[in-house]
Amino acid sequence: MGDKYVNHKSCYEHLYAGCISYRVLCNEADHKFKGLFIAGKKLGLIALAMASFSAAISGWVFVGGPGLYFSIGQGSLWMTFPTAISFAMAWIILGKRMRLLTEVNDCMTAPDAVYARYKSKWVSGIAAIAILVGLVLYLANQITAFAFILSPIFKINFQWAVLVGMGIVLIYSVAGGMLAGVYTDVFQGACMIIASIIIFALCLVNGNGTQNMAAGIVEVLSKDAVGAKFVNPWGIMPAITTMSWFFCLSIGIVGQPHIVHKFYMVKEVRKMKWGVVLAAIGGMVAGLLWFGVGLAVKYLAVTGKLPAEAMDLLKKSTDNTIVVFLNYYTPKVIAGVVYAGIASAIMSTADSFINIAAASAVRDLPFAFNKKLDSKQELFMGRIVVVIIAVVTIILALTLGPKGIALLGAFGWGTFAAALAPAIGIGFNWSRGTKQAAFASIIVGLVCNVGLEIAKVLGANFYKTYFASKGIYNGTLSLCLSIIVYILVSYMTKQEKLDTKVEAVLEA
Amino acid sequence: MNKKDLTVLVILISAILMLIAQFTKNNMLFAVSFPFVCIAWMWLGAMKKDTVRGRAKVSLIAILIIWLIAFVSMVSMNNSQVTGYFLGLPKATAIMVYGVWVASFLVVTLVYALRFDKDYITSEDIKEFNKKTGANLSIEVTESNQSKLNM
Repeated sequence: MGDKYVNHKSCYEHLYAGCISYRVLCNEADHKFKGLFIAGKKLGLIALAMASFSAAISGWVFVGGPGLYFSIGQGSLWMTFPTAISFAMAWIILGKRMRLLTEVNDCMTAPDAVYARYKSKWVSGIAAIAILVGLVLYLANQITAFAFILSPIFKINFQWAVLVGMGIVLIYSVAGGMLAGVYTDVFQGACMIIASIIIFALCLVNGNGTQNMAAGIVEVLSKDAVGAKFVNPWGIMPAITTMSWFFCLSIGIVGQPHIVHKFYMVKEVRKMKWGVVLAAIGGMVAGLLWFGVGLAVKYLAVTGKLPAEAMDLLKKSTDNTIVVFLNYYTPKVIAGVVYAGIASAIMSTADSFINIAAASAVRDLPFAFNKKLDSKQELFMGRIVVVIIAVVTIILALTLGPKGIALLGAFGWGTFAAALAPAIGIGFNWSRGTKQAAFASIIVGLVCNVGLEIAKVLGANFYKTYFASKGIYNGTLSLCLSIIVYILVSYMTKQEKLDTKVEAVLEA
Repeated sequence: MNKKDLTVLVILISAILMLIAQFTKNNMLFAVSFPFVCIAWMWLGAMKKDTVRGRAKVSLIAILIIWLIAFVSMVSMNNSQVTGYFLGLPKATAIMVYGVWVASFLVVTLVYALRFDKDYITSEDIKEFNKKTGANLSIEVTESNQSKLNM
């Protein structure tokens, strides 16, 4: 075991050093506020696709995914299967319109787009708050996943790993910027796609094929048909819960600011054409890793083929599923590359989140209150805000992280989806949508999702009786309410006349 | 009421049905309502002058039908037993993997890329946008600037 860790650590260090060096080079051209937090219209096809794919999945899929599969079975895959179509949803519903908007309006963040559409500082301000809340949750998810990777490699406990992980991300983020993060995504994304294919093949070899693994699980876990449920489409979860995941994680993409944001960076509107296919392929290949590692480790565990040390790791947390497979069933060099790839993907995603959150805090929120900071103030305040965000993230990672990485990721995703998807996704395609509707739907989506999640964590009785017992996923429920509120309030309030240029975007 | 309003109405009704399905724990109602929200929303995004063009229309209708058949089938099947395997997976799971996951990619994502210039944003659309807004988006992507734009 010791040798394995030494080799993983060595590969990890070499590959990671490469990413950092590249990032420092990028930083030279990326040190102004616009480059640091947003980046301009500079992305081509491959960069757009890889950045979208990397931002959408990373630690959640690579670490949380196999762990969730180990716990609940096939039903967990409804969280990753949306990638086959969710990027197309984002491209069809928003891609063209967001990119065209940058031609007529100097949009740099999602609240900018909200302001351009509704001409209301209140609405763009509340959108900025929703973004801050969701991004901190998402960031906690990334840091938790990072800690699960760092902990066994450097033999430190989870709490220390969270602190070290956040520290590394902070240095990475404050020193670099959005554009640098996007370009490192291209390299890291490519590494992870290749590694995922290799890992999936190793899973098939170690488990002797999917049919053998599924049949083995069905046979060993025959009591109460747990094995059969495990390998069937819903796993051991209620069907409605897993379908809810699929719904929220597919169409909810139109409320994700880190995806919306990528469309502002596209160099040329025609370049969106194949980006969607590349992003979807990346997401689907990562889904293979989720499926393969989860199924193989579960099969090896229930058939008694896992070493005792590996079983101990799984008893500590099922989020160690990927660690078990990499340490015991993967050649050392490949395992090292995967560890480095996962860590780098987590870091670049975390970096994007930090920069978007900082942009919301120092640019979008002051704008909502009629204040404007100059460039130097923005940059200085931005870096202070980054540190504050880091502290909150550490607290969340230490308290919510151990409850499950994938579920924490789904909470972050659900918060964005419920709060922003109707205001942006319907609002930019339907001129009847009003600012009152946007404001109401953002408030309803945000409060409902966060409120229900708090009730769930606190074990509130009303939540157990009316929500948990019915298999309700808070993100989907909140998104449905937010959609209904947006449409109904739009019809109940007076339609505003749109700016000619924004109208052209909606009609394009 | 124009066609965009009608599409938004479909989203509204389907979202209300989804809400009812969640509180009544009705799997079947959920399985038939959520695809309408997703596809109607994409339909709204694909609309140009109250219409969805050419193959985009076919692609979106096709995935709606595929999802309805797939989710209704999976909800109807007995989840407590494995009656057989198809291409290495239990039959119900094969519907999930090949019928939802792979088919979604082929029928929507791939078709979007293949039909992008014809159904989603044409040269005429860009010309019209430039004219209305005074923007200066390039109309055609020529072979000579294609490779530069790729990275």
